[in-house]
Amino acid sequence: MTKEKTVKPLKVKIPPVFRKRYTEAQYKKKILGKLFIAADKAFVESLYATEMDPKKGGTRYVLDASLIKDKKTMKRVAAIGKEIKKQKGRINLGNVIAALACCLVLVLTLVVFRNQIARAVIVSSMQGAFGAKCEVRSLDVNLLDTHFGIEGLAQASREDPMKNLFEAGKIDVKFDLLELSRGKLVAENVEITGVTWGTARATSGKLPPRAEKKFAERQKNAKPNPVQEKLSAEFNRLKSGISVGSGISAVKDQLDPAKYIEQEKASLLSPAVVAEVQAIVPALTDKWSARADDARKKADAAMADAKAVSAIKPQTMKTAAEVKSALDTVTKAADTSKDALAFAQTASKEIGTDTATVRDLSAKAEKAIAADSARLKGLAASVKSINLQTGSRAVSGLFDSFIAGTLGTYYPYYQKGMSALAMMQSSSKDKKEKGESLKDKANALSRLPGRDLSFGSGSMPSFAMRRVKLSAGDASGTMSGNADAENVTNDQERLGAPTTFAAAFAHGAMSERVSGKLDFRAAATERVNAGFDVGGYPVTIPSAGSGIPGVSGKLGSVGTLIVSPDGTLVIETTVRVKEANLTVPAFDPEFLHSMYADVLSGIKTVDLGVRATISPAGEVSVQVSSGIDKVVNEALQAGIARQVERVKAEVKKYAENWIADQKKAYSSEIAQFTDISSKVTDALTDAKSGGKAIDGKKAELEARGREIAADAVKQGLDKAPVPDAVKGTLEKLW
Amino acid sequence: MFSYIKSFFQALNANAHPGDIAHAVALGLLLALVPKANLLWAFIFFLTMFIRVNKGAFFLALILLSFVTPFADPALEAIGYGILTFGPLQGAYRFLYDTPFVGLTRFNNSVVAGSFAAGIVLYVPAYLLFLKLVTAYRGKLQPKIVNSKAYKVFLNLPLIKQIANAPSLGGFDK
Repeated sequence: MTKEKTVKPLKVKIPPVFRKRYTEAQYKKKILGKLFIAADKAFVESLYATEMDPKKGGTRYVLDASLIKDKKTMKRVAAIGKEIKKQKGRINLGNVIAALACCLVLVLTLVVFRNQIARAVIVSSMQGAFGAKCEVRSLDVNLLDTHFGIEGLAQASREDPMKNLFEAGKIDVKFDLLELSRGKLVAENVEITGVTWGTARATSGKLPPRAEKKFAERQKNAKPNPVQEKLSAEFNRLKSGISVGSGISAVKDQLDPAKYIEQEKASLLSPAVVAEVQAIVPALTDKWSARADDARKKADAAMADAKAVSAIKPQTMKTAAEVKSALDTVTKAADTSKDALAFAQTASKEIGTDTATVRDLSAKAEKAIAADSARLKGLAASVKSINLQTGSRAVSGLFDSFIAGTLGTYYPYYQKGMSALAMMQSSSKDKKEKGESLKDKANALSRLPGRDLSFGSGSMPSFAMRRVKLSAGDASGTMSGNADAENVTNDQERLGAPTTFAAAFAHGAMSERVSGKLDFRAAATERVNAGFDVGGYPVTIPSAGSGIPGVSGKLGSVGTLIVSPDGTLVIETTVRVKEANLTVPAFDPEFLHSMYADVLSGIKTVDLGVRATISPAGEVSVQVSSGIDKVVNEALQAGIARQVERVKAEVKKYAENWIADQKKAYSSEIAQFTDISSKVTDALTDAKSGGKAIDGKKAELEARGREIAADAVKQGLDKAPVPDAVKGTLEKLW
Repeated sequence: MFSYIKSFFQALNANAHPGDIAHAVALGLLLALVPKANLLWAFIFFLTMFIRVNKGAFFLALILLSFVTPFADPALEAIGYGILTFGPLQGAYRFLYDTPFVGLTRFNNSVVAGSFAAGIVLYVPAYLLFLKLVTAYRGKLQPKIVNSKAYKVFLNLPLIKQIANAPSLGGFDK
């Protein structure tokens, strides 16, 4: 039995828009009016049929579902139905409600969390700028009251995290809401009070590692300013080139007896002779030292033998045997004596040549010493005056390096400040002059900036603070200050006024007052014209070396700072060091040091005129002048003139000592050789003397021997029977 | 971008109201003309989000025309300056300038004013032009294209398929 294939009837789903029955007008508007594709329109029309309205009468349009016979047709009907459904009013109410809700949430968030947001922005900015933690105790942003206030702002120091770089007790800004709504920050009054710096922190101000790394990287990537580098090199060159010691060093040369001898050394004879003696004589001394000792030893031996021989008493000898024994001894001593004599004679003969050489050298040295002594006496007599002309900037020269160093330290800050101020000025003229930036060039499709027109009287720059007041002071009262500025703005052209400022600070014994104006407008003849009056700064300039004074005292300065439109900075100031204490480290000659120190100690005030010019290209010129140099030089010159006789005596004394040293140097060598030579001569004399004594004793013994022999013969004859004639003959033999 | 293109072509070839596309292009032109970064541009942009226009056509017009409008800036600046210095309107400008937050629209900028005015003036012609163009396309060109073999091959291209399957515009294209 086969199962018949049954066809499932199509379940037709009609979109709601096609289920309704429409009048002709409705049909045209709601169906045909919303179909814009001709094919779709024809397709839909083909599906619609007409029928009579049973209630109202008239024709109604209704979709004939029986005409949808396949899925394809049904899908097409469904798609068209969706497209018609999409065509609603122009306003998307759902989106409007969602957007309004978003705006409301955003506004509420900004209102509720405005202080937190502002705090986060300020803290983040400060930490990014200073590289250390920043804390804000309380903060209030109130748009309705047009007020912005910060209390207890503490910025930690990056160098010393346990200290605050500065603290601001209160910052109060009353801003203009209308201008703020125009995207401009315009404040009539800004008050910053309770500013302190260097206060201790309870916790470390070091940034967390991640923020620290970020800051360090930013610092590393910061490109050094080429002009600043050039300036730094110029300041260092200025500092290294300053040598205030040169003057007094030259004077020192004129007062130093050793320098006189040094200058005369080429003309003196004795150094060469002494050197010759020292080269020749010690060698000769070494050469003869051993032989002289040997000669002495041999002479001593001969002398000892002679002494022993001299003790023999021939007359006491009774027998020939005794005499013979003594004669043997004497003969032996005579041999020793002869040997010593021969050695001494040879040595004496040979040393004679060297002795003559040494004697000649000694005579030559004595002659040279005599000549040099006479020359140096004449040299001492020739000292007539001492010239101080090269030491004309002994005191003001000290300040060259100090001022160059101070400018080198603070000029980079000034330059940064001026760059920031110049960049702030956003007049359209400046923008045109600057031309296209790299970013502008890279973005060829950027829009023209256009011209911002102002209407009415309220034509304000985008940033302006009419009055800024700052007061600083700590609880102990050791530090206080206040500053006022007017018309702080980023567009002075638009504001039509320069920025003026006046500030006065006192901390401890120090005080600063500064006032002036900053004018970045195109027609301005001076960009900055400021006057300053600072005082009470303890200053210590240590001595830079021998003969160079050091100064300490309290420094004050009154002057002007002018920056021309081309950026050239000119500082003209009078500097006064009060309670000055000028000292100079000890140097030789002592009397010069003493005199110099006396002159310097009499100076209690140092007045200087300083003019420093720094061009935008980094060329630096520092001129320091002072009348004090003249005073010091004259006093020093007068004092030195009084010391001429003393200098003469010093030179004479030094020359005598020098001559004595020279004599000592050669005479010791000569004496050593003379000792050796004398040793040989003495040995010869002693050997001769010993030999003579031995010879005498020998003769005595021989005579005694003969006497004993004669006595023996006589006694034998007396006893023997020998005729008298023979006896007489024999007796005559003895 | 693909979703914008997809949305635009879907609307063009479906029973979307021609005004949806025409308004979208006209608004795109207006926003392309007005410089960004001011409250006026933001206001018009958000307004567009609340209006039922074809967002694909709007964003395409905005993006493509933004490449062209900078070349018209000198003329727009001149127009804007002329408008802003037009004597009889100074009182109105002063009122606007002194009204809080209106300044954020930067209406007082010559380029903003000129481009906004040009955008408003060009809105109606642009709307009418695109209305005609869409109608003409649907009436004459679209049936021929749809029935052509080239179109069918085109629809089968991988890139076109990818565009067709691109995600929606998050509801804004409805």
